[in-house]
Amino acid sequence: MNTVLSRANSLFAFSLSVMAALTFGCFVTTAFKDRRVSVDIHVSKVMLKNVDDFTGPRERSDLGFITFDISADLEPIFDWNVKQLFLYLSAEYATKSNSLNQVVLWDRIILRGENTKLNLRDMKSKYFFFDDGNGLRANKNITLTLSWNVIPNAGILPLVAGSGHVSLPFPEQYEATKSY
Amino acid sequence: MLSLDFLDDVRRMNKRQLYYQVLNFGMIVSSALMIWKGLMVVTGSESPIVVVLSGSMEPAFHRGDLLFLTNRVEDPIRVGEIVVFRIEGREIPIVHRVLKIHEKQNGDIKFLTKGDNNAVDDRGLYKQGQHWLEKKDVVGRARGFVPYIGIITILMNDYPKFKYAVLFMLGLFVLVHRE
Repeated sequence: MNTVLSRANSLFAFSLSVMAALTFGCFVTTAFKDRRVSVDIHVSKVMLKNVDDFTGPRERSDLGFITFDISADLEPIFDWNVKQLFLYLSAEYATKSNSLNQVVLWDRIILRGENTKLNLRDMKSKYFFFDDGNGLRANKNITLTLSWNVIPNAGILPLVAGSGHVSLPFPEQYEATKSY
Repeated sequence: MLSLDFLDDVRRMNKRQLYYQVLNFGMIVSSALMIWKGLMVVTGSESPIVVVLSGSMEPAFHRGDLLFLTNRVEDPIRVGEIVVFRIEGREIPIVHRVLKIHEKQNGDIKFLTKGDNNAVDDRGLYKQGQHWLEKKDVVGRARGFVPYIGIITILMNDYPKFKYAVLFMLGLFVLVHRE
């Protein structure tokens, strides 16, 4: 331990081992935590159109419009190993041509330190709700769920669904108006 | 000094010890290969550990972060999952999130992806005329994450001289060191 090089070497090796132990500690202490929270979703308006799918394959497809409210308190999920939460509201339904469809309507990133109480009213969807075909019309059961992807400082990346989802039917008729 | 010490070591070694060192080196290389292939089998993915190369998933993942992937057939692809995929004809893997899925009764699935930090979905990245991704394009689903460690891989790719220097020093060290 009498040259600068060997001292620097041991210092470097030691700090590397300490950081590795800390990272492993972060992972192990939060690996099995339950990250579920109850969520309240309410839908105020549903509308249906049938237009050419301009976001992709240019076939006439059903386009849905949903206006919704979300309330949730995400405070209990955050701890020393949560860097951010990626929230997403997804609609799940079945149609004649596809037995399972899932579409993300809206998403948001919440970083640690930001406001964790959600109280959103009259939100419009961020992404166009196109079906792969014409399966939304008169569809009795579209289920909306708010889920989140927990991004840790180091460790497992779980996808957790909030308890509290809402099911709604789509109308039988298309809207004839030109406005979106 | 350093150079005189190691020259002494080499002079002291006879043929047998030299062969032993080379065998030792071979053992290390094959154990590393075994662990890597074993990981590939357990996770079902052809590349169970990837380094994030772009900033399209910030602030979740930054360039240089390490991701652990699985690609088991029993795990269905669902929205919100982070998938690593390759576009046909290109070799760079992309790490993005699943935005939309349409699955048929028999399990055939087509899905759309988008990077968290991108304003639009990935249709602009796919091949000309391709609107959806399929299971065969997927390298794996991201299940675990460790920050920063992959920076070494990025440095080695961006500065190949650095990579050769590191490999040369490592090889020399293992061959010459007695323990």
